[in-house]
Amino acid sequence: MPLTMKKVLLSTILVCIAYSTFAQKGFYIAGGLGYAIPAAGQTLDASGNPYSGSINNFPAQPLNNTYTVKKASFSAGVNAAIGVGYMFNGHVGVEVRGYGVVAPQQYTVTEVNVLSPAGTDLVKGTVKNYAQLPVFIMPALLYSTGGKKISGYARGGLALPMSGNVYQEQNTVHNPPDESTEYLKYQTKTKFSAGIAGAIGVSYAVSAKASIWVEANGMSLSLYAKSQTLETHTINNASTTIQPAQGTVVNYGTNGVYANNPPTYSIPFSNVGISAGIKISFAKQEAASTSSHHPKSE
Amino acid sequence: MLLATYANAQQFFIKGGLGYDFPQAGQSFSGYGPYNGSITTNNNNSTTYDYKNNSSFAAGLQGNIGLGYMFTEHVGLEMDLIAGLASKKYNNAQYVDTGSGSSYTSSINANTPILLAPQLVLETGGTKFNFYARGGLVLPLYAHFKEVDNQVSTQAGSGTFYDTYTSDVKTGFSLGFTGAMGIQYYLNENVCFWGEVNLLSMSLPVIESDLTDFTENGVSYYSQISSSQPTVTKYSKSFSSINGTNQNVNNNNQLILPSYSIPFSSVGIHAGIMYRFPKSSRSSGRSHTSARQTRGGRPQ
Repeated sequence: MPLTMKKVLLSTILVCIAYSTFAQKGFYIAGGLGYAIPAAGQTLDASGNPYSGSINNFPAQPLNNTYTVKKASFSAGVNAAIGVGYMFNGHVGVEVRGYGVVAPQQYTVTEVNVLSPAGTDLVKGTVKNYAQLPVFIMPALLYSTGGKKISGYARGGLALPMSGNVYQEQNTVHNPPDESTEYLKYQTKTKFSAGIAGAIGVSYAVSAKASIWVEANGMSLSLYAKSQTLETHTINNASTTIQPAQGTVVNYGTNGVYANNPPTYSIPFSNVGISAGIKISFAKQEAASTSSHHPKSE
Repeated sequence: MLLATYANAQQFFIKGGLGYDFPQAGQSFSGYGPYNGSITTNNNNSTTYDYKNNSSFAAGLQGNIGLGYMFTEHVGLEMDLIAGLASKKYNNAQYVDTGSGSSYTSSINANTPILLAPQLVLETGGTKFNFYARGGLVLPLYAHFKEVDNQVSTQAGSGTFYDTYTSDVKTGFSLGFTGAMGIQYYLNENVCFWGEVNLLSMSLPVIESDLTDFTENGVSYYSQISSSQPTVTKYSKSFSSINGTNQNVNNNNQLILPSYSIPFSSVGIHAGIMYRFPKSSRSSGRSHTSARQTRGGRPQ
């Protein structure tokens, strides 16, 4: 056998052996933690009010004379994920992941020199917007480069919101000499809307079954307001039954009579982040014969 | 052996394709008004509306070209240039009074946006079929929007006026991210068709709106307007009034308003063709693995 042929045969055998170890087929579980920042967020809500920032109005002027606005998205913050997956072969699999934002970022707007609703004096206030433990289910398709020790992977699929309610807390303090305070807390329920989620990362095998993974991931999602309910209302720290002008419950729609149910609006939930965790594989190490990557070589 | 395999797997490629994108993670309101739909004041003074959710200006027909380099059989880099060839236009009737006949309608669409997308590429490898995924950033190179506002008003004794304002809405830089999952079908060693589902996630901050034309009853009066009053509105994420004045204007007497985000996320289906350049002789010489064993053992 010529030397070249021997080298070709040797390389072929080695490549096949190497790839046969990638051909893992079976279930796995994975879990991890991460942090996400707003992506494709919004600066203003439907009414033109900023989600985050500050406003200083000159008295009785309709325009803001000093302001800052910042981009917001309600899935930003510390998140945790746990999932189960199945690899059909060494390269293609499916996964279902539960993803919860365990410490969502809160957004605060401070505003001073605001004309009070009664139009009699000036007030200052803060408005805090946040989500409370938004949870998503993420079914996804998974590609893996395969690899004995280090493997690149990518995931892409849907982001289905299981819980995506947002809250707004309004604190108002009248300017002296009044200095009375008012606090309102609203819960906004959102309608179901499917988003897209994906990730690209690398995993490092620490044993035959366990590996550590690190990934960059993102979610693209807007949720639409379904209803808003006043949960708490206090004046000078005492509970009150006085209703705000819009009532205690507002139902939103996409069409109808404006006064009865105002139009719904989008609430940003897109993010991009970095996560890391561990994966335990229950896959079987299959024989070289299952490797279909180099059939002609074989 | 692995080094040899890596060397042999190194390969440049170019690609191009077309696709259609649908709005994703969109918005219904900009903060200054709805994007798509209508609101009507009826004869009985009741106000009704019909708004459409999920407007996003990346929707529509897109074309893309790209080039990339595979470091190994499975890992590479790709740089795509994405252009909105026929972006979806959103029409909005912000005010229609069925009693007086007056109305205010507008339309807005992206004006051939161009995006640059550097991405990491992962491939499973395969003989005839190859699965791949991409993920990376999106950098807006050009993202202007054309807004046309039409106002119809009736004045007693003067008749009906049809005013049309055309504006160029400019956006600032903002990073987005993109990803795709797809499959390639190889016709031969170098040429393949590809099809994919991809995602673009981005919102763009509006920084300026320039009035570019104004017509009334079909006659342009733009030059008269531009010489008498500002035609530029600036949008900013922060602003402080100058010299304690009580107007949101800058030194150039331009109105300053809080910046808002234009939704630019989409999910699309794209297809095209890719050409992989033949591997270099240096690489081939380093490996004794046959060419068909690399690049997933594609047929020679």
